[in-house]
Amino acid sequence: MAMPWERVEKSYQFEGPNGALSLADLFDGRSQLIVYHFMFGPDWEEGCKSCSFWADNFNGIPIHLNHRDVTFTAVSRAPFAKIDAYKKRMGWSFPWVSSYGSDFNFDYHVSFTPEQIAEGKAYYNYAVRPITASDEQGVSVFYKNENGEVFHTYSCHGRGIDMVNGAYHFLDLVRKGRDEDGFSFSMEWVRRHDQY
Amino acid sequence: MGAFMWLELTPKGRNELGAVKSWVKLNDEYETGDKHKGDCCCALVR
Repeated sequence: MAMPWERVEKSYQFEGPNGALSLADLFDGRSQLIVYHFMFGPDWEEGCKSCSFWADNFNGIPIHLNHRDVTFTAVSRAPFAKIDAYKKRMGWSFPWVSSYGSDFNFDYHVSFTPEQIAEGKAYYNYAVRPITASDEQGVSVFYKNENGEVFHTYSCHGRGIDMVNGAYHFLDLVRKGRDEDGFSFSMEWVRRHDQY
Repeated sequence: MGAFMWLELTPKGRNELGAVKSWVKLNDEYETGDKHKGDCCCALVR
């Protein structure tokens, strides 16, 4: 479903392997940018296991997206050094930058303040919902026009991101399907790929 | 499968005005010298 485009007026700073980057820099010469909001809070020791499951599915495809005028990057609030170490551990190659110290995650409703966590609710996935974690998952899409103006064109969160998880699509083709009944939560069975 | 699902979230979509999938190459066969060869380039990947 198409959503209204919203001009991004605010300045955001990210850190990548070569230093500071703006949101416009993340486009890396293309006009379309996909951000995967990877759950990895500043004080976490490793990335979210469910986001890691998603990452196993999208690792390797950015080169193809690049050739349709799309740059793909994951973004997390963890400091870049933690991101880089975890990325190496997992053997991933996709771009992944840190938004540590920036409002980016908060403005796109995937990170929550200590006050919101204490209150136990925050705006996430287009509604005020109970929250327990400092960070949640999502996908946001941006467009940069010829004048360098950046627009937010799409976001989805929660189970809305299932549509980009290829493993789930394959599971949905088999007799037992996702076979997630009986767990305390649906993805309880998921592990980081080096922890099965 | 995965790349098409991601492309469909963008303003230009699959952007395949020519023959469907005619743009697709093996991941080591995209044009040599392409500024963006590899998973990505300069700014985002070491």
